[in-house]
Amino acid sequence: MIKLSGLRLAFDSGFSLDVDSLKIRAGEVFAIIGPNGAGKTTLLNSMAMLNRPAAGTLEIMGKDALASANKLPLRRAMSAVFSQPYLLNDTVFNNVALPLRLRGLRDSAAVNAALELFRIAHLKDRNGRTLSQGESHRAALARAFVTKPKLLLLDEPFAALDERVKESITRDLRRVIKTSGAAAVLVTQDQAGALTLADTLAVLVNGRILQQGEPQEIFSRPVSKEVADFVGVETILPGKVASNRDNLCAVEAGGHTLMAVSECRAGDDVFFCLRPEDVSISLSADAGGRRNNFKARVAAVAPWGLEYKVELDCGFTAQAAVTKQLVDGLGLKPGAQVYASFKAVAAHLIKRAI
Amino acid sequence: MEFILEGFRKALQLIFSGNPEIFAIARLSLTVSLLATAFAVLAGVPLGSWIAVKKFPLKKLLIALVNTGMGLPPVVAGLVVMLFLARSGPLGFLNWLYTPKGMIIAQFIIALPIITALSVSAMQNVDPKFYNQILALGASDRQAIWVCLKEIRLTIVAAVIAGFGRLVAEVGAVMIVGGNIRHQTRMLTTATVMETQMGNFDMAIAIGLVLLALGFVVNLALTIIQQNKVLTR
Amino acid sequence: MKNNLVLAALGALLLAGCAKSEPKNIIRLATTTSVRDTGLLDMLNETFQKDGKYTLQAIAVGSGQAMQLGRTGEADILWVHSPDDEKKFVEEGYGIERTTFLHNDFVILGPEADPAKVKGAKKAEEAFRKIAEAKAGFVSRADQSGTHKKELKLWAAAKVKPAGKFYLEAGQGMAGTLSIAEEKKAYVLADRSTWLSMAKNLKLGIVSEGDDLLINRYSLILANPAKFPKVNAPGARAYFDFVLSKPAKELIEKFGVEKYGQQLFFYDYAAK
Repeated sequence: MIKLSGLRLAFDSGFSLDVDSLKIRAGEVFAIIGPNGAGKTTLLNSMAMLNRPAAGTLEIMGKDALASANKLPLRRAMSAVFSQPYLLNDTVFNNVALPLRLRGLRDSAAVNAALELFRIAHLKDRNGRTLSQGESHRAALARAFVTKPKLLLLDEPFAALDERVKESITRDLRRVIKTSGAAAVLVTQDQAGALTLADTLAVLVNGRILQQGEPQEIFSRPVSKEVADFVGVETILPGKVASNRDNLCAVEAGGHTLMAVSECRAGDDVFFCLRPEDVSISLSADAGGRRNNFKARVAAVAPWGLEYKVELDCGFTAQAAVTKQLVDGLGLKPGAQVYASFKAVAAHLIKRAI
Repeated sequence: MEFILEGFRKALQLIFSGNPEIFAIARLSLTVSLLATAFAVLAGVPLGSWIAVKKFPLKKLLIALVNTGMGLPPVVAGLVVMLFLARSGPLGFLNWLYTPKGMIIAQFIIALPIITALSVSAMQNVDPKFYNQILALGASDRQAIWVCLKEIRLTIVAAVIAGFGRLVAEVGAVMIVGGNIRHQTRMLTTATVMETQMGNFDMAIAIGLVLLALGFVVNLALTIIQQNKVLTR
Repeated sequence: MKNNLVLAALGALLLAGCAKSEPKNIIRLATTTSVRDTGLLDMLNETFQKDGKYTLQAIAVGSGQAMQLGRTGEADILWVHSPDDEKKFVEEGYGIERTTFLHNDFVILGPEADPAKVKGAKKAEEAFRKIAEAKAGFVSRADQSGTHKKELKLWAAAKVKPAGKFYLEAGQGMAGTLSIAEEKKAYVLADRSTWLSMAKNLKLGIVSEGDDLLINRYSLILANPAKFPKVNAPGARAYFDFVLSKPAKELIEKFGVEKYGQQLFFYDYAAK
């Protein structure tokens, strides 16, 4: 659906976007995540043909998207939703009908169907400017789908919404995308949302794509410290692989020997990475089969959404994510003596340059 | 003071007796200035929108020129048009000097920079992300501009009001290009000057009052149109 | 999109409406403000255009400017009153068939107070000398018009070069100049006809009249079609013949009698 290579955009501020290669397949939901200022919007705008790259090629649906003759026909096969709904000062019906009108079409059935998809049919005669946040975002989505596009571009479409609304709309969007079979490119800061919607994930930092692949892959096995940092791997320890037996590595890190399943070889300098969700805390030394088990002292307990982050001092610092029940049940408080354990297979090693 | 009140009284008499000459002059003023404004809108709004939206070299210079044009003295516009339309001038074959057509051209030239500059400004106030969103939904540049124009129509109507106001009030261009010929190119403003010079103050005041009333009525109509578009809900 | 089309259609319609009243057979007459300000021009032209065959564009400026229009071929026919300039105009080939056909006279007007004690002066040059000596205010047309040229001639006869604070150069038509003179309580030279038509609005009075020098002669001059092929020669000829016809003569001689109790213009041509 989209093939991008050697794309480069440079800005006066000194920032530049450099993407070597990107491929998005038909029907695929492709999410691009990255910190603020990474260039995500610029990249999406390039795919929407809203800016002019200094170098590179961009092919959309088999056509050269950089040729001005192709721009309008390609635009008419795509659709986009941005972080603000940008509705017109007109009825919701007319707002959703806009893409059809731009193509010289009149199709009330399609408009009504789009309104139904996002469950706002009851709002069709209201003025777009009077809707609530959630309602106007739904209207923007309905508007994007009314032409049954084969490719949908979304730039942080839910950034401004509160949790519940976000959840509800995300669910509806997922359903609609999957049913329509359209390809979607989603730029977002919301990692949870990306995980829910995406088939493929790309991490964009400072204008460059650091890793592309399946979301779970990236979250559990980031290829660099940068990516690891960004996707929430909170325990990252520099160390060295002492030995590798059948891909079970013993790593000297943090003053201990930690076990990880990895193809790294003895002698490699690595970062030992561990997601907080993979660290278990218990009061007994029984590791329950986990190869890594350490005595630890609770250094801090902080709320984290509906759960808690517990900072553990095992000789090295580890972050664990646990439920409130566990905190209460084990009486976790700073200073408490506990045991932290994690599976070797949950740990991940990243080769480190010295 | 006496003669002012006397003049005023006689003026009202002239108006309410339906003096045909005054109303013929008023009709001409209205036609000339409305047409010139209409043409300036047809040309200036798309032009201003295009300038605002497109990127091209020397864009700032062009906008500065257009803004300067807003202050173009009507007499200068009249002079230039007269030189072009004179028989010995390049467009003399049109025979448009001393006719309403010539006056419309001169007034069009006065109103064009005003409408264009205000359109540029109005369009530049549109969030570029909004413009991008419309493009991304499948619009050509022209379609996107049209959608944005509908969103800023309040400002556009304000520009029309400004343009028309300027035209109906000016005397220099229509005097030079029209010649204040009775029954042919006499406008409310040029007639006021002439009657004042001849000392016919009652006539002058009458014409002045009609001029004020005309300006008010047209602007009232345009303002109603504008305010109706304001979102009340 | 639709609105644009509607507007464009409206515009085209209005323009078409304009075109319908398209003046046919335009004759451009360059004449003096004194002829217009009396109302004589309007009266005659209404009659001339009654059958709708011609449209007369009467541009009322000073004689000087009128002749300038003639020099560039902008006018088809001139009706002016500046004899020396007219003769030169014809000599230089710009105009043909100069026909002096009308006269009235100039009067010297002044404020009620008459500070220069001009009243009663039988000779115009005497009046002008007195005004200069008293340094009393004087408003000049200063626009190269026939009246202006006559005024300059009178200053020359009085052996005075008019300048300084007392000499106001208006640069306007007769009516405008008279208004200024009245406001400034100054002396001014005006043709009797314009004076009569504006007298009710002015607080000035005649301080000197009757001198031969004050006779004011009007002539018609046709633009030379040989020099200016673009002029409307047949139209100009039609107007020319009209003004020099018996019906026009009668209209002109009757003009003003009812309103002002006296004839404003005196016809000198043997009209047929």
